[in-house]
Amino acid sequence: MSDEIERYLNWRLADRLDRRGFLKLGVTAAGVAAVAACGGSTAVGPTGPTGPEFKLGVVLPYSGVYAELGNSITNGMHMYFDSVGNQAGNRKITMVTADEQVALADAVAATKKVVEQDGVDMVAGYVSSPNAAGNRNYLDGLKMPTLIANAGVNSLSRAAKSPFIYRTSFSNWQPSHPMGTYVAEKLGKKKIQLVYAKYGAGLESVDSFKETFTASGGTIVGPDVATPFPNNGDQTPFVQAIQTDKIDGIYCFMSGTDAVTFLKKAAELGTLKKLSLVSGAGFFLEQDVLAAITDAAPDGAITGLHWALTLTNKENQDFISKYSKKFSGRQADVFAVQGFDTARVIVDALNVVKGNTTNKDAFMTAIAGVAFKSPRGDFKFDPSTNNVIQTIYVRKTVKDPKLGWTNQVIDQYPGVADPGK
Amino acid sequence: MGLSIIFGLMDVLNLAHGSFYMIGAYAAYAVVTATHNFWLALLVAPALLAVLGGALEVVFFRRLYRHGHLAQVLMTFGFTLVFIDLIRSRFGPTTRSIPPPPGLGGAVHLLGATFSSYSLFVLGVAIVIGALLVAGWRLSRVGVVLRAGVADKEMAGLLGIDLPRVFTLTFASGAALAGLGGAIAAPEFAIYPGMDANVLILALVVVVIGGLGSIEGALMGAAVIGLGYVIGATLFPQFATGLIFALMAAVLVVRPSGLLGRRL
Amino acid sequence: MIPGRFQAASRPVFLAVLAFALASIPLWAPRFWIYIATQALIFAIFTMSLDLLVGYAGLPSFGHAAFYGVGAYACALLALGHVDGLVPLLLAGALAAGLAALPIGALSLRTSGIYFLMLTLAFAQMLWGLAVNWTSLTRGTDGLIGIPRPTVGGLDMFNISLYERGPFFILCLVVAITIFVFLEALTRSPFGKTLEGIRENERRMRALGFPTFRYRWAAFVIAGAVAGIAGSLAAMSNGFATPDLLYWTVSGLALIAVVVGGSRSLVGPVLGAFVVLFAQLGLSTYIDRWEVVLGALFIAFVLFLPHGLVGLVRRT
Repeated sequence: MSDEIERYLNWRLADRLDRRGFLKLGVTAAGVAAVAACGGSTAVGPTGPTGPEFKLGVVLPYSGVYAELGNSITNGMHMYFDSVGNQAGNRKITMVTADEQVALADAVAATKKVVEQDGVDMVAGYVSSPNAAGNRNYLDGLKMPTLIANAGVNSLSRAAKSPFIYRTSFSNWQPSHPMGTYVAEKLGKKKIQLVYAKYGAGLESVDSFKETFTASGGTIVGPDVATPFPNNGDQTPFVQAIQTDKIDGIYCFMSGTDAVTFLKKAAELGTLKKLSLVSGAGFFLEQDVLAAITDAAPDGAITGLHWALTLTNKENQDFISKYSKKFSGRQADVFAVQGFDTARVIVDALNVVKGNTTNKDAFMTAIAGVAFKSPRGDFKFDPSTNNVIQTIYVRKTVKDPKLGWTNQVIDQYPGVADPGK
Repeated sequence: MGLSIIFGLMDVLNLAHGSFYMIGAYAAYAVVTATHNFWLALLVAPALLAVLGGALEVVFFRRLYRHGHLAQVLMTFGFTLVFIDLIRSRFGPTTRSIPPPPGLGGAVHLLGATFSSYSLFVLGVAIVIGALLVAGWRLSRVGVVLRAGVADKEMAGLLGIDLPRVFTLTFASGAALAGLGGAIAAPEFAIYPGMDANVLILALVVVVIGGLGSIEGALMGAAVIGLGYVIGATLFPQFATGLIFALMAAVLVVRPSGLLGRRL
Repeated sequence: MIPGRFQAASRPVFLAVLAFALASIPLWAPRFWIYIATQALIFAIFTMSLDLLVGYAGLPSFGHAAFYGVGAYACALLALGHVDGLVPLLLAGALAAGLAALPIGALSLRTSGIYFLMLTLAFAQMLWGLAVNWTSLTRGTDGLIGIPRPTVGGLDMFNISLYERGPFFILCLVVAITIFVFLEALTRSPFGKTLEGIRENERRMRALGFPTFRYRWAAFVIAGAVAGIAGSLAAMSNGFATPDLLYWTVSGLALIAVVVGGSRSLVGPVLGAFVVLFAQLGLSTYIDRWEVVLGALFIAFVLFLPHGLVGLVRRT
């Protein structure tokens, strides 16, 4: 009899498994399962948290061009919170989501909504850099503990850093910085042309590459190929602006749709084959892009990022298999890892302060002190930038018989920290 | 092109036209993933959109003709929101892409320049369809009826032409063309929720440059924009962002009714 | 029919009630909703200026965000350059936007109807491209952030700060009412009547000896300047100016607000601005599939209220 009820409930739950419903139901489902498991023999389940609810405001894009990133980060968070029973420091953790969308005005409204209407104890999220930077003063002014789960704009670790805002993802400087040295010294490619989408992340990434590349004796061959962002038109003129006969290769920053259309066109026109090196920041050839372009992928391209699907450490293998099991076969991506780690920072810090978040300075100190082994390797914060210190992996794009197109780790630079200026 | 038919000929400003294109691309994606047959997708997508477009015309847009452009903007914008959300909930927000059909995945060297063979294929299809449209427009009975409808709705009605039916068919064929466009573009570009807005603006620009109510104008507008963008972006890559709009502004300032448009 | 009998009698009463209702918002509304109401009010100033073009002059601009954005950037740059003072900043926004509207209007007004719509869109998108690319001035896609709000002489004495939400809302309300009165007077003036005449029959007005182009041009520049004031307020309110402000979606949203509210009424666009912003921000922060709901709402509006919200009153 109770079997019937449980099956019915599970069916109802699965039937309505949309995103936000899923978040809320995660807790309920656990409760239902717990009660069902007890078989109704006793009303008292395992001891739940007795402290006040800990509300986490999650501001991430669920519509518009960045929706995919928002979903992945949310999934990652959800996965970690579930793994600890949605509680820490004797407090039940509830996620309150709001749609960051694309434009800053919408992200500001979403932030104010979770802070003022829902009265959250903490905010996490922000995919786009202008949105993170644009909410910075508001969050800082309120002394609202905040974790940036994606936006990479350098200034948040530098001039605009705040004692209340920490970043679990990366600064734009980080993934590209070791790449300049690697390309010039280890690969011996000295003539590189820069290709990038002309917006904050693109500019900061290639600047970081240029810094170490020229310091290692490399030459940037001009003019840069700067594509409009987002690029709604034909990529042909930009692909043909690559001076294949004068250079060893390109270093590229583009992501998502831009990267897909650019790579497809470059493959069709045969441009990629004429280059002895295709390199870039990892987002250029992350799993989302590779899944879309499939065999147009540049075999052997070299990119730098703070994670790779193929990392063999136990934490990562665990993560990717559980992730795919939990989210009906979806492949884990770097954004899901960022969400997973963001949730872990929150849980660990809550445990350290035993759930007491009224003393915000103490809570922030606890956050700053969180360190652990993440799927991406060693994770800790840099006290001088409030940004994560992490390993940057040099990866090679290959076609794996099991995983399909993916990035194989061929080298690594541990402990890469933003310079903070 | 489909937009020119609906917009120019029926005087309806249809912002959902980009959505038709997007749905066409997703239909192609679904067909190609299921059957690995791109040519089948080229049949399914326009058929689907013809039905959808015809249905929307009968149920909704028919009530709109007398309310002027602004009400049309509002309603069709409403549809773009509905469609993008439906697409996202069905296919997810991920960027997708399908490979060019076998044999068209490479590059061709012509006159010292390199072209992707699929792009040339698209160009060929566009020329054929353009020629068919112009021929149909000029020579066939439907074309005559439509031209009459454009020139003077009431008079055409008085002459015993069943305008509502003609308009439904026109709208359906406009939508079908958009669907075909989306399907043909699918291997060339990326497929994602949001592609509708990009193509919509581009299509509006093309139609306006060419001049409303003129198929030849739309073809010419497409050529101007296509060539102008490629040449302009090659010469002045830093201005690529506003380039097509600068082109449109230049054309309209010199010829306020587009290249081949009627004087308003 | 315009103004209808009902309207003629009750319009002032309705307006007074509306103004008082708005003014009371800081007293009872939760902080978040005061913020949304402030945004709606600023947006309402913007849509009123658009109504001058769309409704009265019969010029459907699809690029009005250009002037909103130019005003915001002008205000932002000056405020970041340590220019303080409410009136100078608002006027700077108006002036910059008005100046931008001069050439854009002169060129766009060579066309009409849909061509005008597209040409204004083109200019707005070009300015958007400029805001994205002129990184030394605008900081590109990152935008200008951390814009201070001005101090107003006298308010300090009462210990009131514009950084507080209530006072800033009241400030926006005062500006909005001032602009409403100004536009109302303008549309009732011989200038406004001439504009309407030109909208109805340009050839005839020209034959009567009116320099129709100059009338339209003046209306275009005035509308642009008022949009610039809205842009300045937006920059002060949010503390940022980003290229998004000039994007065609903002122009589109404003047009939608005018249609939803009902054009050629000034009140309609105000109501429309509130409905559209509350619907958009409210839905998107509370509902999951908000785009479907918002889309359906717009479709329903056209089907059931083809003349906008003010159409409800006018038909009575």
